[in-house]
Amino acid sequence: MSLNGKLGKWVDAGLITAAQRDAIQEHERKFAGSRWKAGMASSGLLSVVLGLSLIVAANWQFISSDIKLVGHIIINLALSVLVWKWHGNPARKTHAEVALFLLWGLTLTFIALIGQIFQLSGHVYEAIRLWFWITTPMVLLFAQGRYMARLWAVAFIIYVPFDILSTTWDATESWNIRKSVLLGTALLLPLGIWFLGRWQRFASARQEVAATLRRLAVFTALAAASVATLEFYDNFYYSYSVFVPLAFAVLSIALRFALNRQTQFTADDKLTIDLLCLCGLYCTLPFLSYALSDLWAMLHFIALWGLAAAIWQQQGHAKYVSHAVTLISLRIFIGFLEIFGGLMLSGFGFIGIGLLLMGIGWATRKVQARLKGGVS
Amino acid sequence: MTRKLSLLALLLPTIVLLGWVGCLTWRYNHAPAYDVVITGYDPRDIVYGKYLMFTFDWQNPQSSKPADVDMASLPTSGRFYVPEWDAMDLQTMIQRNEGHVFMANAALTGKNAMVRNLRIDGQPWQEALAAWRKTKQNGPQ
Repeated sequence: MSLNGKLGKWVDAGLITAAQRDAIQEHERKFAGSRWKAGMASSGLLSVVLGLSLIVAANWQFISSDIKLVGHIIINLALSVLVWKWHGNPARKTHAEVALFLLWGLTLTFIALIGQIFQLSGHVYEAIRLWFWITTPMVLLFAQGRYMARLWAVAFIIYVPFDILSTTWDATESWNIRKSVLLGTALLLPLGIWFLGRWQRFASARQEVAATLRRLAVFTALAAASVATLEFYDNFYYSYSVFVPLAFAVLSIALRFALNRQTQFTADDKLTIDLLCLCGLYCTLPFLSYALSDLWAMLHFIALWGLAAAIWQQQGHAKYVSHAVTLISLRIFIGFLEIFGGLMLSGFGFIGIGLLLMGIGWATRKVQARLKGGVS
Repeated sequence: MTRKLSLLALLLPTIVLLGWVGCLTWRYNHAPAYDVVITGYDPRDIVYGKYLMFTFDWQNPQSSKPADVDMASLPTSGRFYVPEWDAMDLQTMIQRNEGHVFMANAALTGKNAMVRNLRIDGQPWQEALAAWRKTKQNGPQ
């Protein structure tokens, strides 16, 4: 149904007044006008950029290396100037964000171009490492919108733990050191990100980025603690001292109590610190247990997300509670498949799985509805 | 102060990459270079476009190499960017094993090599490839 049709129905139902309907229609007319102009301008610009790119691509081997390098530097510098010029201007916020995004991406293509011109035989991850670290200060200081912040967050969560761990794995054969770095990263990296996002001076200047950092910290910690359950499947392959996970378990608990005594944190902050330290502790449990068990893996995962849901419940994050309950339900189903997977091949197996799925769906809805009621 | 730091953060990628380009240019022009026979290849690379990927055959009598150097310290592999449509023909040319000698002029910087150009049977690779294509079109003589 069109907007006008819907507005008519809402007026008839008494949800909005005729004056409100007219105001909404006027607003939409104005917005649609600027959207059409912006759409045409963007399409034209895209067409010009595509045309230029095609000409450059078709003649790539005929363009000298110097021209390629200088041309790329000029584009990057021009974008830097635009970001600098626009970044404090609220009317140009979108322009600044687009220019920053282009500069971010073109820095990576510049690295690739250098590799091509000087015939460097480095690995792709080395190029990405250089790109990520040299552009991070720029993104953190100049990104204002949530899309850029989230894109950077995705790059962060994929790249940084991988970089830390791959560097450690290359540097040493000692499993004690490797596990120490692994557990240290799982505990301290999320805490570090959260503190940066919580830093008042940064948070007031870069609200979207700071909020993204705080969410990223929680997500990274939970992802690390969830991945740690894999240790229940193959932890007998490598030998390491029990004191390594024990030290990090003690550190997680000590950090939790030390940070909770600080007066500058709000009650909400303290709950987040509880969650981050809890994740750090849960990362160590599979390494402490030396157990090889599908059941323990499932219980570990469920307990972790159950506690996370309880903390979010106290913080009033109904959406996160709902996600946690869904994940727990999925994990229970995966646990069922792990234990009774062979039954799937039989007719009774299909009936059992069908009934289980319906039961989990029903129970999940019930739990979510009750928890949401509690939150509200 | 904050303003200056912000500007520095914004220009940091360009400054670092410019410095890197300067450093690489100096090495490219000043590092000792050697003509080395190359073997092995894979002209495809998902990130960098089309490359010949090869290993250096330092033991080959036609290869020049630095004097009094441990062979283990020399780079073992390198790559050379070639346009997409040439890469496949170069691949076929090497695959057919018709006795062509592929030789890279490589500037050495420690364990790394920057290939400055590629020669086939003593000719620039573009000329050798063009001649090979002509032979292929005309058929064996």
